[in-house]
Amino acid sequence: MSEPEFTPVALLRAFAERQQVSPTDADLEAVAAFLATVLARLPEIERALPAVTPPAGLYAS
Amino acid sequence: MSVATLAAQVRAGELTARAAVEQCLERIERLDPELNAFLDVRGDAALAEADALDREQPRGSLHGVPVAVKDVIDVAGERTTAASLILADNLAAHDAAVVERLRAAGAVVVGKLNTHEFALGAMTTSPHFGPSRNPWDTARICGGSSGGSGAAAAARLVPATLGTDTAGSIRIPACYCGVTGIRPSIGRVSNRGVVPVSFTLDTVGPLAPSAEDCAILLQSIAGHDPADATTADVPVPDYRVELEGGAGGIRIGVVRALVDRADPRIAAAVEAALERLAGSGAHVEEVEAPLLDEAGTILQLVMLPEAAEVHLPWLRTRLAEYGSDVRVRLLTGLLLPGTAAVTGQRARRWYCEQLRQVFDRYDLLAAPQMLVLPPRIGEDTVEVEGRQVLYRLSVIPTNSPWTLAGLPVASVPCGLVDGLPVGLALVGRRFGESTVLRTAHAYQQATDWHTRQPPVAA
Repeated sequence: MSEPEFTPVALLRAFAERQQVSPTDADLEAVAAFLATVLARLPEIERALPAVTPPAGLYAS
Repeated sequence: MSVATLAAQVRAGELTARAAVEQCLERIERLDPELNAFLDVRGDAALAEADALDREQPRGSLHGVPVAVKDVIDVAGERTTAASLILADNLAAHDAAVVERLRAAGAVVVGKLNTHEFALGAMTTSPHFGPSRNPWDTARICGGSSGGSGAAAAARLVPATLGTDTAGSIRIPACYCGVTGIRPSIGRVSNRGVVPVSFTLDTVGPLAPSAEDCAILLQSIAGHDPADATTADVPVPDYRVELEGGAGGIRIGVVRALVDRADPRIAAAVEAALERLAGSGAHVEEVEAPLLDEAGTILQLVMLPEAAEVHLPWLRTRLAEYGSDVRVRLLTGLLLPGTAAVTGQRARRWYCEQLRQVFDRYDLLAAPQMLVLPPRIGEDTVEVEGRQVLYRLSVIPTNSPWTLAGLPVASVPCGLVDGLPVGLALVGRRFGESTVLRTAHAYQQATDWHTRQPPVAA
């Protein structure tokens, strides 16, 4: 018996439904594409970010 | 008529507040059916308020001046829709802080202005209330999200408007509609009574033909609000007095990388504007701004989860009532990993420090406000450096970097390309609105781009 296949849309749906939100497949496909674009740039930022940097405050200072 | 001139005429008894409001209502009735800048007009209420003002001693710098505000800003007794179905029947119980302050200065709010749904986009093409149309070419967008604010100011439906700016929403429509607009520093103006997008990025600011008009409006709305924890308790300078300082000695760093990405005709207009400022005594030189390409990503990591958190109750219960573009943005914020959001906040601090070092050497940064001309309504791609890209991505490089750092930015009209306005962005230090406005004013004393009116307004 094979493992169930988790598509990006199925994974996103599971996380959305855990937060009581029920998007359509079309919405989640668009979200998956958006997230892929944003997250693809994250490793570069993580590498460059000095380790000691705390989060910005209310006024980004 | 400028804000300053109109206010002076009312003060001198040469014009009544009622007459000023009537003139605006006549223009709105005649021109707005084509522009769709207004979502609600307060005809009778505004006239009654004007009559009351005509019986009083002058309240302040805006006595008798008609203004209009973006429909994310509460006006007591009026609906605040944010151009959404979800808030279509949302009656405001109280004035927003900025409306309280406008009224205290004597302004009359004549109506509520169209916006991108929930101020979450840069086009002002609400699927529920229809697009605002650019007064310079009604087939094109006004930009957004404060598109109605830009269109109303450009078509002289009112002398000045308020918009809000989370990621470019004052500057983009100011540029595309050919008026001056200033996004103040984060913390300079109260957000109380404004439908939020992102608590750590939102600002309220003016759009009007000139920097002088914007200075008068900003003066009336700026300052600490004890009831809004996002405002900063710092002194507010006298912007109008400081306008007269001229551009002499101002050190301007030109962000060459952004000039080079712009439509060459826009770049030429921006360079001509900078030459003019240099001729007025500013020290203009090229600068390399840090992390331009990363700023847009960092901004998304910060803004989207904050917006999703604001909207979570409606995402749960009224998801289908959002326009598709806004729904996808909010769902992306909902589903972005928490660790990515924290990385965004850390990267934001890192970015601010990098940019602060640039401001050790310059009083202002300058860049094109937009890389491209406004697209036609219904088009969602534009050409940047020979490539077709999504319009919403084209706005990021010239808006996100300054937004992320919470800096004041003005968009100043600096030319026409194919009959459409283009703008110069002037970016100041945190709480450096005076320097931004002073430099914009000096430029406008030497040029007349800010006085040009779209054909529909003539």
